[in-house]
Amino acid sequence: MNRITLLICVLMALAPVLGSDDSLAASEECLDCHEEVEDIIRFTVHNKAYEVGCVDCHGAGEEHIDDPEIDNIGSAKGASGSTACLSCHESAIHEKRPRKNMHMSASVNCSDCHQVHQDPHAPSPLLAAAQEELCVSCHTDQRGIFSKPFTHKLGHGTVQCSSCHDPHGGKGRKKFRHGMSSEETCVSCHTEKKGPFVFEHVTGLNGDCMTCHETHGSANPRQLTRADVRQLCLECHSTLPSGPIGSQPPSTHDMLSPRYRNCVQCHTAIHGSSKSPVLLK
Amino acid sequence: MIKFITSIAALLVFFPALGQSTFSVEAGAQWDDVSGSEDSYRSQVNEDGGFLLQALRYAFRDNEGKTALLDRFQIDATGFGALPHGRINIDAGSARGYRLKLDYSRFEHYNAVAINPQPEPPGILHSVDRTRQLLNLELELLPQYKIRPIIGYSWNSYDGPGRESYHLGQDEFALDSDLDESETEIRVGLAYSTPRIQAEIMQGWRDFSGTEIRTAQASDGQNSRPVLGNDIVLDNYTSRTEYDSETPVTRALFKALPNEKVSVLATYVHADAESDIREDESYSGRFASYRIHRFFNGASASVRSRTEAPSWRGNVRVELELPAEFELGLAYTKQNRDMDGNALIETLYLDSVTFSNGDPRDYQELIDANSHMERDEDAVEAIVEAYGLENFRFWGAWTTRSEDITVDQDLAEIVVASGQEGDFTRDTDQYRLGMAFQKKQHQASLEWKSEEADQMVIRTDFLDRETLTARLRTGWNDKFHFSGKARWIDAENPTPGIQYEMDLFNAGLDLEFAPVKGFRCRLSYNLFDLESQTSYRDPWFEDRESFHKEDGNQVDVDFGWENKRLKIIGRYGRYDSEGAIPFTLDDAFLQADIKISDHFSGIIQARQREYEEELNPLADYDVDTFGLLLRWRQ
Repeated sequence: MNRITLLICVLMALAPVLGSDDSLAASEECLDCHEEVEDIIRFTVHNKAYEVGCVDCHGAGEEHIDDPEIDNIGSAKGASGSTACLSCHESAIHEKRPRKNMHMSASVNCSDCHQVHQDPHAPSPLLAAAQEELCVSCHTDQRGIFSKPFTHKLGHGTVQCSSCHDPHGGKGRKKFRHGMSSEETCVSCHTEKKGPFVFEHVTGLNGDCMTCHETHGSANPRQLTRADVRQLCLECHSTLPSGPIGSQPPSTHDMLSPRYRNCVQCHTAIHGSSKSPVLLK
Repeated sequence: MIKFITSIAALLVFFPALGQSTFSVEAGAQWDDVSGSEDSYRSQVNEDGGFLLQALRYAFRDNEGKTALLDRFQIDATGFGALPHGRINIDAGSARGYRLKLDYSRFEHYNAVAINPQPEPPGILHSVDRTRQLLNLELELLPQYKIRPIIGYSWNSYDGPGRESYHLGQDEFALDSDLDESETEIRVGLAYSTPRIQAEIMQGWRDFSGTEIRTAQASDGQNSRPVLGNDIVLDNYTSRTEYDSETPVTRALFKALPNEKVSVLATYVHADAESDIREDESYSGRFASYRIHRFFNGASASVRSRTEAPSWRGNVRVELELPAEFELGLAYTKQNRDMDGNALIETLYLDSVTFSNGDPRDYQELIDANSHMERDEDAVEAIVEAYGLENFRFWGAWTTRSEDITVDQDLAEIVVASGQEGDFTRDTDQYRLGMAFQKKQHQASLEWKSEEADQMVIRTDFLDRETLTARLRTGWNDKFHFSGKARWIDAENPTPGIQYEMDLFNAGLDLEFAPVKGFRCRLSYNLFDLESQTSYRDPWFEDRESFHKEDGNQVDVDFGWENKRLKIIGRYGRYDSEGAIPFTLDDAFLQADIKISDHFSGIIQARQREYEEELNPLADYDVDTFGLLLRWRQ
């Protein structure tokens, strides 16, 4: 905790170095009529930091200015809804491969999740609602899964859907934020399980975190895929007369006995160890 | 915590004059009433009474450039106090200077399952009551430049008491353990990015070290009867284990987008792990060992071991967009691990005699063990995907993996269990076919996956495995949503001696509706049907079958209602399984959020968890939790 305190103090000490860069590029003619959005437009990060005004997204609309009944104003709806946004956020186009991204289709576009005319005091990156509410509004089954007794607790800004998934088009089939596999995503927070260890357990190719864990939620403690830890282990570590390489339970482990029901009570370093070949510590 | 709160308060006072800032905190107190097995409850949930920081957010943003060195700062925290997991995230930076990310987590880790009294008589549990802390810091400098330095620091610690059982000769005794270990990693590197190319190379130095001290009180051990006419007694026991490992790690990433139709992604990780272990133990009493065929009155032992484990992993992936809305992806991954182990184990048995009370002397045993294992893994993946065909997408993929493992066995093996010398290979092929439909709020998808392996290596769970997943989602405006999903998995390994079979069916339906503004309700039903059986060898060297069944049902309902002054959230879930470990878990939660003023709200929340295991009532618990919190928003 002292490290965090020290860091905050350093940041505070740096803060008073003042600069001045007053950049206002709101479209005055628009705001003459649309005064209800004036404060919102003037103080959004788009306007203040990047000098984006009404006409940059909605088009010049000269005819609309001359005759408000003529509606030729660009709208961020439908299939072309993301066009205006992506004209500036160009890097997202190349990096995220929008052609294969459901979140940039006719059904879902930027304005479904982001609210450009947002209250400027809201801290989130122009989100229309709290992230966990936004995602489950389409992915409705996930609300039930994340209501299970043992799950990642979403919300409060620390663990969110986007901690693991990149809604703009991440890597792999699950659109992971940190890598092609769930393993890289999980260890980005659970760094103590990252390895490489001297003695590994699963190594990516042979299985990953989701071999044993239900990451979105489970009825079992530790979000395990089986209620019986012993069985979960035995499925990969069955005993054989002439075995595969690996660590089968030795015959001294009487699997009939309840004491061997939970292997990880002794094999506590189940995710990898730099000390014990059989992951005891 | 006081320093931390003071710092946040200072930020509140200091920053608002320089930009836009928001602050909100939910904090208060929680009370709990635990009846039944506290061990079981703490192993599963581990919430406590006392102060609770449910949520904290402070966000500062300077869009006008008043603070040249800090134009955004956001801190989020949750879970400190009464909850077993607390987390702080800090994201700060300046568009033209740096970006700083800091994550801190704290886990209270408790494990003492009530069904596992070890050793007999009941009352002695294998248990841990330890704390893990994680700190991760990443500082990226000059984010507006193509080449950017990156500095990273990670630290984690794991410490606290535990209890375990331990064999001394032919008897088993309970030991108290005190563990203290920590790991640090310092990383430096460079990142390079243009719209078409991204590259990053990081060099890290990881240092892991720990100490475990174990002691035991005088006891008679697990055996209630004498061994060969001798009572087995432990008078005292101490041991100290020190271990450390150093691991330099190199990570590199390269991503190129030569044009809009081609992308290349390559990653490489290289690590040289070296581990040293020093363990000394001594104990006295009266013991018997079948291995040396002697009674003895105590022993002293020392272990000195060293392991070297260099490893590397490389992956390259190319994705090509083809004409007619097709995409082709090719990937190749290669991984190599090499492990050399050496251990010198010296044991001196004191005052030993043979089982016939002859040949009295101190008896010394010396084991010098060396072992080596090398492991190569290759994976090739090809995927073809068609999309943009009106509202449909189709995909098909083939992946092949090859694992090749070589073990040089030593008579006194320490790395791999004995009898496993040789070369082992396993080739696995995976096929995937799928389709998806999406039109407005209507979505459906179906995917079939088949995996086939030719040999058992490392894992025994399948030689054949098939998975079928179906999803359906639809809705009507924002008032009604329906989704359903089903998954079948069928896996088997018919090898004599293994005879592994696993059948899983999991299906769920979710119905969510919001008939009027401010009210939302959701109903869910899930079923989970699993049968799994495999073989194991019992202590009498007989192969036996382990059968596991889960016949689980989950029903849960939640609702939310709010108006300008009051918001109510309720949730009830019931989870039951009629399988091998029949259990029922009821979980009910109710929260009322009452707006007191524009800045303050009061929160009242209550939760009840009731857990019952049919075959082991020792594990049952019934816990009521009640919280009273205040939210302050500024």
